Amino acid sequence: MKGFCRALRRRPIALISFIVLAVLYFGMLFCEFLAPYGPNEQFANHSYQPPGLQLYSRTLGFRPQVQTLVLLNDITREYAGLEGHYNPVKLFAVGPEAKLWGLIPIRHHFFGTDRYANPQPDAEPIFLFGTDNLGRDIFSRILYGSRISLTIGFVGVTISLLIALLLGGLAGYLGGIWDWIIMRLAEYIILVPGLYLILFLRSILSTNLNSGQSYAIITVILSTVGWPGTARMIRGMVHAIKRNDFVANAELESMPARAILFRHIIPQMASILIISVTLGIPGFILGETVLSYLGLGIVDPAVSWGSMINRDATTITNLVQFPWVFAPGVFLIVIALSFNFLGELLRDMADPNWRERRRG
Amino acid sequence: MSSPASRPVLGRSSFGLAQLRQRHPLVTFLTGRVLTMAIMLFLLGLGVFGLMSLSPGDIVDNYARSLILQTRGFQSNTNTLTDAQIQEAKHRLWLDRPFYAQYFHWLHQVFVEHDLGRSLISRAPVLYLVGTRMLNSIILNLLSLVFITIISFALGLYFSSKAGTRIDPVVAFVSLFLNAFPGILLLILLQMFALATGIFPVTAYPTDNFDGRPLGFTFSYLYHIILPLIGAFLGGIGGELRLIRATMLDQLGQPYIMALRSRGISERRIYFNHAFRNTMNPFITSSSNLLADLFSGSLILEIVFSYPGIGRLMYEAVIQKDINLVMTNIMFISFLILVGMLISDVALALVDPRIRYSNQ
Repeated sequence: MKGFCRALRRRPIALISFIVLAVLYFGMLFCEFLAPYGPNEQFANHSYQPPGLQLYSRTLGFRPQVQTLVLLNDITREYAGLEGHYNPVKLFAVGPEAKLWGLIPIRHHFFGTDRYANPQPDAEPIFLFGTDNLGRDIFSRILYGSRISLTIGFVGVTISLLIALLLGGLAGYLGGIWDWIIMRLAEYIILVPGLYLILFLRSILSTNLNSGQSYAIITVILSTVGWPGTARMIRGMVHAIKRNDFVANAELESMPARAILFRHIIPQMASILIISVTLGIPGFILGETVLSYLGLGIVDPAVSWGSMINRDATTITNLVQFPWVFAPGVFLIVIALSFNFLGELLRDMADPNWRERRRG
Repeated sequence: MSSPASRPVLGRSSFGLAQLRQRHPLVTFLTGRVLTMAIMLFLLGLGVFGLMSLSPGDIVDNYARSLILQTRGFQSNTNTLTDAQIQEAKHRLWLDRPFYAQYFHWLHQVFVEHDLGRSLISRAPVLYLVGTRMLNSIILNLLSLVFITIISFALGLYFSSKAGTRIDPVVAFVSLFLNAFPGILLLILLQMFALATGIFPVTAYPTDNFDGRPLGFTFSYLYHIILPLIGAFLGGIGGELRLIRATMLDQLGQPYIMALRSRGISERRIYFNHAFRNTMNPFITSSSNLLADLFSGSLILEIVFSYPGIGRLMYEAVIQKDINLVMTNIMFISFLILVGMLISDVALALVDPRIRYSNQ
């Protein structure tokens, strides 16, 4: 842990990635409080509204504020600001009712305008990243969507890693016929082009699912496609570690094979496993994005970053006309890059030779 | 054969003659692999039919439903099929029988009657459909693969000689960045760029056809294909460059390079004749899927740029359960993956004498 902190300090890009990830996961935990509005709350006459936060106006001076916008053209979605009509953005403002973690009812949100407070119900709402075609706040939707997008990586990698550890470990340790059977099974799954397998499974299971079910199914599908590669890697490593003296010792003490494998051999691979988890997470997150892009992933009313891209960013003219609908895409890019930079740091830490060589 | 434990069952299942294996290692190896390949392909087909039958509804149901939805203006809908007609169609297409019977029917049709069948949706021969689409995919993939390989080798070689200089971390960062960048978002951004600037066309295929004006079509095709090529290139170059650079540095740190240098061999010779030659090894291993990639097309790229390649054809076929089309393509691609693995094993032995001699 200490080494990790020191390595972080020496590489600023990894430090930034670490902070970004921490902030995003923190935001995911408290999304009900941090998001000013609910994920499916629609504002009439506010569709495709551009991001509205301003820091200065002549009326209110220097402070965060929102100008009241009026819809000029219903088709091109042109807005015009009303002169002199500015609404201050306040911290801990009263907002729509929400339940933190589905349990604790809260009325105050991290920030917002006076729209929900008693004196000014017609105040302009705050849209940090603008709104989508139904007039929903994209910032709030991104926060709520991170519940799916940020956890799917961890859950998926955990499942696929468990399968890979079990099967790859057994294949490598037992060898012989077990090795042959498990590796042929892995090759069999590799053979079916991954995307087609996903399409198949998804089209089988896609009939009227709620969001929880489709989340579970997407994770299981992605892990099913993902485990063979990791299993092959683990098998190779177990093969190599098996030849060490401490394994022979344990065998001479007639320890059960299960204990040798899970207590002695697999802990040897801990650092490699951590790295493969870190580098595997963005793969799962983007897998969900691709599925959602093809219309096979998360669908309304549930929200994920992939489904937001599918809804708003697939029509290319929309994207050019209202570029802020690409915001979830930016978040996806940032997440993918952060996990990769962090994984790269971990890899360098685990393999000091590699660093030496790079310097030399 | 120094490692009999690695493929005991293969040898036994194919010949069972240790003597023969000793005398003709390559022949027995190849026979074993080809036999396993045939079994894997057979099981794969069975799996595909099984998956297809698991999912609710079939192609006749879909067709009947689409007919009902097709109303002709305000007239009464006469497009419905009777139950008897639906049953008759299912019977004709073997859809009312269990999936293994369907599979054997398909095998009979292909291997005895030498007929891949017709697409159940468009009624065109499968061979024609797959052939035309595959040609498009091959052109695109071949171009991008050639570019990626040549340029990544050149850059990898060049920058491995710059290790430790000021440009080194920049190259490492850029290649990691490109490698980690989500491909689907890269394509969307490129398309956004094309629409916003108007330099490149937004779709990837010209509107006119080849027969009219061959020269004009070729130029127009090249013009349309530039953007997808850039997308594929940027998506692939990062990983390849990293692989080549890392193995080059790995090799340059080995003692034999120091020995060569101490003997006064020119730096140029060390690079190209010694270090570079050993770089081919991991490259060959990692490119065992090259052959299959060439023919399988890239689904997301083809969908984003509406390019008529094999990936999109397959996507539609899977969604619509066009079993003849799906089977032909999956079997062909899987065959290519297996052949690619085989070729890369043999090529590895040809390039690297260590592997060749250890097998004898």
